[in-house]
Amino acid sequence: MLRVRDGDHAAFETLVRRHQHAVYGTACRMLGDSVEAEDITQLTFLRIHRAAPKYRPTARFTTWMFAILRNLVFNEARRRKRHRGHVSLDAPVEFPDDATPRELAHSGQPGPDAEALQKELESQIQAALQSLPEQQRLAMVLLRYEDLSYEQIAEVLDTSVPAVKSLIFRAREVLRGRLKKYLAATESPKEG
Amino acid sequence: MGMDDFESDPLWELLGRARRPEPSPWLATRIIAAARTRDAASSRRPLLALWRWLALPAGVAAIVIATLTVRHPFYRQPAESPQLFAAFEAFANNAFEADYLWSSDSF
Repeated sequence: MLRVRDGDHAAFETLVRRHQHAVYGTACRMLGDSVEAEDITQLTFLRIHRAAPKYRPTARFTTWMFAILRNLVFNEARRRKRHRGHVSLDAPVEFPDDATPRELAHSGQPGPDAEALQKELESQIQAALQSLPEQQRLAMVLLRYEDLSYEQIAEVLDTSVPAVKSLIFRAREVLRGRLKKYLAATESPKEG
Repeated sequence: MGMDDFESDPLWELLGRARRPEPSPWLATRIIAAARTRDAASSRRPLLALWRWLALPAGVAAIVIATLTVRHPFYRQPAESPQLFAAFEAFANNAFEADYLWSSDSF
């Protein structure tokens, strides 16, 4: 990042290629839309590029990067609320009654249904994540998928570590309720 | 279940089964191209940047000049006073009489 600050274009390219998966993955899980996630990813890196001359290495680069992403994602969420009115990122996603886990314990095995089962599981996990309030969702995504520490998440969310722990605790409770069918399916083969 | 015991939490394992969403292969190229375009555009506009810096002092100077002009005009109406009024009347009367005499002489 210090090389980017000094106007090194090659360094910026390296930085984008190194972190694009983390930024895009987080944006995608937050927004649930791959096209918007790509737009937000691009905006995040352009903001980093624009702010590079003023960059001071007081915090970890990834924390700073995710803080920029947080602002953009939350702004996008507010924009959606304004424009779509009744559709909200925080609106709970209802699961259909016939959404059964379908032997997910065997989804890792090669077979014609394996990919379909994997996609079904991923879409249900995404729906469960979408049902969380945005702060809880971001805390959960950063902890589970980006391996950030509580301290780093607190910096990203501009809050305290106990507040982050509370967000994660509540998010886990909600997700456990939303994904209970899948949890039962994964636990039952171990018990048997 | 406590707050930090993720390893033993089946939910943690279940969430881990979701693969990371992958961006399109051209995303990085697009971002880098956009950054270069922005750089090129900003380097072509030094005069615009100069104008931005000059606009504020120029605006302030215009406001100051306008304020001074309104408050201290270069021409002022002379204050009316009884002496001035009397002098004006005397002058007007003399002028009328002179005009009258000149007019009657002409007949």
